[in-house]
Amino acid sequence: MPTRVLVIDDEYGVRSGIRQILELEGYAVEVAENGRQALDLLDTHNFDVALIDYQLPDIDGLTLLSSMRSRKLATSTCMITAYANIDTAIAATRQGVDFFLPKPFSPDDLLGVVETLARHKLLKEEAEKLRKENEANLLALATEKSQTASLVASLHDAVLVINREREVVLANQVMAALLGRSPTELLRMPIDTALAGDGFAGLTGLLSEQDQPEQKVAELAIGDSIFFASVVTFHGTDGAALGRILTLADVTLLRKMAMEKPRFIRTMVHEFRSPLGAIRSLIEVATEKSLGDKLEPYLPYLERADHRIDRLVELIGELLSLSRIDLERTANASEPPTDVATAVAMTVDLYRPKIAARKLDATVLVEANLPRARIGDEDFKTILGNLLGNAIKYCREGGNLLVSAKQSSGKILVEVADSGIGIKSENLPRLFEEFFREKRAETRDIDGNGLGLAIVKRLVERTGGKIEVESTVGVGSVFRVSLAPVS
Amino acid sequence: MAKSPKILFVDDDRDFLSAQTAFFGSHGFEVVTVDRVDGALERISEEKPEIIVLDLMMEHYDSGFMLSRKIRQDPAMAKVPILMLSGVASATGHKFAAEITALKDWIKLDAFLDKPVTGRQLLKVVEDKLGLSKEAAATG
Repeated sequence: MPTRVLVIDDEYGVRSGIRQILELEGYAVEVAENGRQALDLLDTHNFDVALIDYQLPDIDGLTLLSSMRSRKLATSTCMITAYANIDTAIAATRQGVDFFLPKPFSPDDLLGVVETLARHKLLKEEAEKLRKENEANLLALATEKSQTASLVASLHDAVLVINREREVVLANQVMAALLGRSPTELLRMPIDTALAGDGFAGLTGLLSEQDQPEQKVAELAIGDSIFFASVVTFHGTDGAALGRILTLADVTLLRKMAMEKPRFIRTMVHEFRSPLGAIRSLIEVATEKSLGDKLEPYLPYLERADHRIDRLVELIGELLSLSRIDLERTANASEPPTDVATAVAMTVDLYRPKIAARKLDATVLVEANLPRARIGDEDFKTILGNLLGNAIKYCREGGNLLVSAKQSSGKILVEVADSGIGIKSENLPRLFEEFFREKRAETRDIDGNGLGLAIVKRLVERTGGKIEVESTVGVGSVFRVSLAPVS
Repeated sequence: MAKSPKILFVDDDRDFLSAQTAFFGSHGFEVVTVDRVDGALERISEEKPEIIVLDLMMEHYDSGFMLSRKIRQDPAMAKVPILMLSGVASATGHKFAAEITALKDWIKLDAFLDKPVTGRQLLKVVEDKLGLSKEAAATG
């Protein structure tokens, strides 16, 4: 594209002369005979160079320059004047003029000036482009920095960065909380000061100056928690170490789970071996013909074996429930809420035969107009069924049961109370553990595998509910489940 | 004819006890069963069995160990063979196996058997131990 030049001169001879010279050299030229025309053209076209006569009929060259300046035009400007003096030069320079061409001038002078100005304009444009790119880069950098800062702040892990001088240059909230300080307080703090508190000796060791491998990992205890710590050394472009990044991931729960699993399996194995041992012995009485050749005497043994197998099947079912609940840690939110009154009535009806068999006096009290409970129907029935089943089992014959449901401080409270044998207070904290059963003379003939309450607790808690128990040995127990109502 | 040897079982599983009563009864034993740790020691010194079979895990994880240690402390019972049954031994692996060796020594356990054990297996060990203890008595 040719360089576009605007010639502004009120003298026809001058404008057309300049036009001819420039067009011969391949420039695209427009002319204006006054300031008004010039501004109209400048507003509608792009010009690389403008040649401006100092004296125009409507406005003078200086005013035109000032108007162009306020329009932030990229056009390079040259003032043509027959009255060149220092004062006009200074005034025009103040208005941002790029060049002066005193009249009279030769065609070569003119071409030299225009060429210089065109190049000048190109350079100005390049410079502007670079400035804009740079600005964009700076903006991107600032965005990235703030993204990094937000990222570090939002991390669940504790993060700390130290520089070559072993001063803290970054610490997120988690790390600050761990060190008992605020993130800003930690800035520029020598790392040894930051880690001076009790329990951080392991970290001091990890960040020691002696050895600086690329990455170091360790597991260490701080207070009651166990952390997986990682230290990474980072380098500048020249390869020199610039500082180190320390991250701490809290693995307390993972460790605890890893420890609990073998214990759970050990107990489970025992829960299987004992009944299997009994079943094998019971059957063996028959296979070894310990009681003679008639079948009759063996029947009680075989019936007991059958009963023990039933209990094992039950145990397997509950283990499966437990693992299913553990897989679905959060309750299915799309499940329709439960109509408590109906679910209570249905569950109690299911247990009527057992209640009757033990000659228990069962009372059901459900407050009218209870809102629905935010829990699945099946889960609710499993919870209440387990609690009711326990109440029936641990109640003495002829005792009392009370199942109630009411609204209390914004929650739905479901209670199962019995006048049974009760639970020793020292055993209450372990009551909801898997396989826990109170071993007492009164409990030895009651079937159970110790999984029911573990299942109940998990079901209640995954809906955000709570379960509590109160009990007195020889008097009875109350299990209280609080559930969220559907608002 | 020699008097039937008296075997005493301590186990909280009543089905296991009733089955062993039938089984060992048919093999010429006089069977005594105790279904709880409480009062077991008194029953044992009263009954003076020729051999004792103990379940390791009754009310507590080490009820069997504590009971066998107490049995050994009674001079009259110091030489009675004690067989320990457990549902947990194999599952716990090495560490427990090592502990058992130490414990066997400590309480002078004569045998340690994993549940579920068959009556035949138990009978074989019982006969062995009784034979051994008879020899030990003869030479001692």
